[in-house]
Amino acid sequence: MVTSDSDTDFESADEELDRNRPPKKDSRVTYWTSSTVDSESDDDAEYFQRPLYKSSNWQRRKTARSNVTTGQETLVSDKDDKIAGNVKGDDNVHMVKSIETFNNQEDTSPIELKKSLCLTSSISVKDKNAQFMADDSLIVKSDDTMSKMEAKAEKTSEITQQRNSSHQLGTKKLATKITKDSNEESTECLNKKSLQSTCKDTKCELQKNNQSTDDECKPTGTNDLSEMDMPEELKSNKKFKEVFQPEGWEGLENDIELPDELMEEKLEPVLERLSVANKEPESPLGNWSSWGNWDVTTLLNTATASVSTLTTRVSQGLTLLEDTIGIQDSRELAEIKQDETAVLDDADSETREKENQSYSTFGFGNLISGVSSITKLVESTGKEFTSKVMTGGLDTLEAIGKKTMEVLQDGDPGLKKKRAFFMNEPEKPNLSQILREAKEKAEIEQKTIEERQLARKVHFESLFDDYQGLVHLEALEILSKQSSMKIQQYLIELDANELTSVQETLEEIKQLCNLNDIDDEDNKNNKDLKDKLESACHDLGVDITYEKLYNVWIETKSYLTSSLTDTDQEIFQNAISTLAQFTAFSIERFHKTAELLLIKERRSTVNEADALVQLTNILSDQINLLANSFYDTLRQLAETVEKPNNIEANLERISSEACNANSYIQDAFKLLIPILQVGAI
Amino acid sequence: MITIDSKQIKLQIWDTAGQEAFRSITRSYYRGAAGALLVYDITRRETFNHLTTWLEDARQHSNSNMVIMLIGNKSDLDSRREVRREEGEAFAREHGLVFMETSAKTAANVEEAFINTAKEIYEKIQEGVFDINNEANGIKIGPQHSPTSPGGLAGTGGQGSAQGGGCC
Repeated sequence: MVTSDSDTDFESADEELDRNRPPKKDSRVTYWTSSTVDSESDDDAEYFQRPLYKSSNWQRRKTARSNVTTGQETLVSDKDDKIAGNVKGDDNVHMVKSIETFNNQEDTSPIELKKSLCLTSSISVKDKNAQFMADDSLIVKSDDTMSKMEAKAEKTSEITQQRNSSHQLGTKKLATKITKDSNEESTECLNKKSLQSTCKDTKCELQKNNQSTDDECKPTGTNDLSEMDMPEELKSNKKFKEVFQPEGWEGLENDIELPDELMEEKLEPVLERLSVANKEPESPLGNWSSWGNWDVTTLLNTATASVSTLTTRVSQGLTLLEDTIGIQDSRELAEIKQDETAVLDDADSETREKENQSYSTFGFGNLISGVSSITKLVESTGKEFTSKVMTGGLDTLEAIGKKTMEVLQDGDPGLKKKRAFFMNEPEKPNLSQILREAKEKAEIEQKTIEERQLARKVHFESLFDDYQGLVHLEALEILSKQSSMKIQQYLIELDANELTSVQETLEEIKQLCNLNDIDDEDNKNNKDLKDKLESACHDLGVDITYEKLYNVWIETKSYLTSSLTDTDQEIFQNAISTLAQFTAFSIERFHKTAELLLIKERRSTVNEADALVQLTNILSDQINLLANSFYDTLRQLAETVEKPNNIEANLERISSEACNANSYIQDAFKLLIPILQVGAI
Repeated sequence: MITIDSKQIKLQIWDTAGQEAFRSITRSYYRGAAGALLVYDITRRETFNHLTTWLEDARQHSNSNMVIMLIGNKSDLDSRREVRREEGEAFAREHGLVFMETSAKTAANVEEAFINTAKEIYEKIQEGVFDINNEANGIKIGPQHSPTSPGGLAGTGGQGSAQGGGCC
């Protein structure tokens, strides 16, 4: 039977409750449906409450269908309904037990409340509900609505009277279901251990319970009572409302809390975890204090599901109403319902997606959109009952909902983009994350480029290469290798005696080229660089000038005397650049010297070697002098500047690069030795 | 530093002396060069006449795959031209060279001369003619990624293209 199906649903829900898992929310879905169905009753407050109740999504479709079917069946056979009610009652008991086991503190009060509500659908309860509604600040213009409500109530009473006979069955079922739902809800809440929500719920329930329990018997005979009381309740039109109101009430409370929390604390994390949540739906519980066991995903699911269920339920409720009023055949009803549900399902899927999107974009959007849909539902039901009570508040809510959707769909008709982005690719990180990453990446790239450019400005090797130092060094290497090969070839052709004598000569040249045994540098330092270079070149016996190097030195001197305007970093860059330039020019000169020596017709190896040693020493000294000049300038600057650390590091760099430059020059000089030796052969 | 086919190629260019005395030194540079620019002076017939010996020298002492460009320099002095453009083209065709007329003075085609040489070398590398792993070819793989980086070019001939005048 259909009823049995619904029972199974409930049982499954119970199981879920036992597990303490988020999926339990299905029960809430049932609430929704029931409440929507109940919309037949005129109370505005109920309607409001429901929309807020989004958290109870879960498998609404299932429940909705089952409800529909049950409604039909109830029309067909009363017995089935009763059985179902019994079964449900049993379920309720189970539920209560489980709840009790979970939380002793909570006691059975919530359960009792629910039972009482379900079983005893009394007018008093209705009144209380209405009071609650009025008290609720959320219910906008409640006063107005109340007045309207009364007028509507009369109309509804007429309608309900007509329907009563057929209605009762449906209502019974609904009520029982609702009660179950409420029980499940309470259990869920307990399981979730979301203290705030549960507290509020329990409070509401307790209040209701007190009132209801006073009027009515105790819940011990829940099953019997449910059957017994149901007809009475049914007779009175207000049963639905009463039954549903408590749920809606609870839902309201929960919903109100949830969005606040979302806004305050969880909104960001929710967004961030959206992608992750999809991947691991059973992610750890209890991270969220207020939410308790609920995952982000479950929240979203529930939110979306609640909307969809709401719509489906509304349709159901409408059909039910039609049934009761028009006394249509159950078959016709079934057909209609199927059609409607099918259409609604489509609509639901859409709304769900939208809901998800809105939720992901901003947690509050879900709430508003849910409200709008609810208001629409209410309107539709209101048409049936011609209840204009809600219109004021509903209009406001609808306006809010429409505005929200407009904002969401701005530049994105049908929310296709957002949907595609958030729904189709759950593994994709959310937009803000992507943007953030992209920004960071761009920043890093920019930084690295700048750093590289800056580093290149003070990178000795790069600058040395820029000044053609490496090209000439390589050329010099080639010449040196060629000379060495020539020497080796020459040596191979010699006999032993000649070989030793030649080798001795070569060794002597090497000795001459020993750079270390020159200590009369101090005396030479007095002479001008230009003079020193000229004299050395003269000794070489080659037509070559080292004026380029002299020019570099002059430029540097003038720069250092007028560099007061430059920052320490600029001076540092200039220092490295100058060192590189000077070194590169020295290498170039050495290369040229080598070429000239090689084509020199008359070689005087000793003089050449001596001149080259002199040159090398001069160049080395000059490099040291350059480095020291910059070093002193920077050090003077360091004494006046606040951040001497950077300058200290740069000073070290200058020293090390001066050593580097010297080693280049000495390496080049060593390459010259074979060229000298070739001349001696 | 030039870019060919979106690849950064660094050219290392040596300007060798054209004087007879430096020929032995120039020979040193042939080895390890991936390309050479053989430059003659269009206003002096004798530089053109010497091309054969330079070409032989280059072929003899270099990698057989070395790209050689024939450059007729001083194209700005058309009034004093002694070597017709067609002659240069014919010589280049005969010896499998790439021919261009340039002017160091007006910088006409100078850049192109080097870039075309680099392109030729690059194409040969792409064809697998050059073994890029053998540095004796004058080609080194750059530090980043590109298959080519420095192509050692020995600009030989009557004179360095940039300096004008020369002998041979």
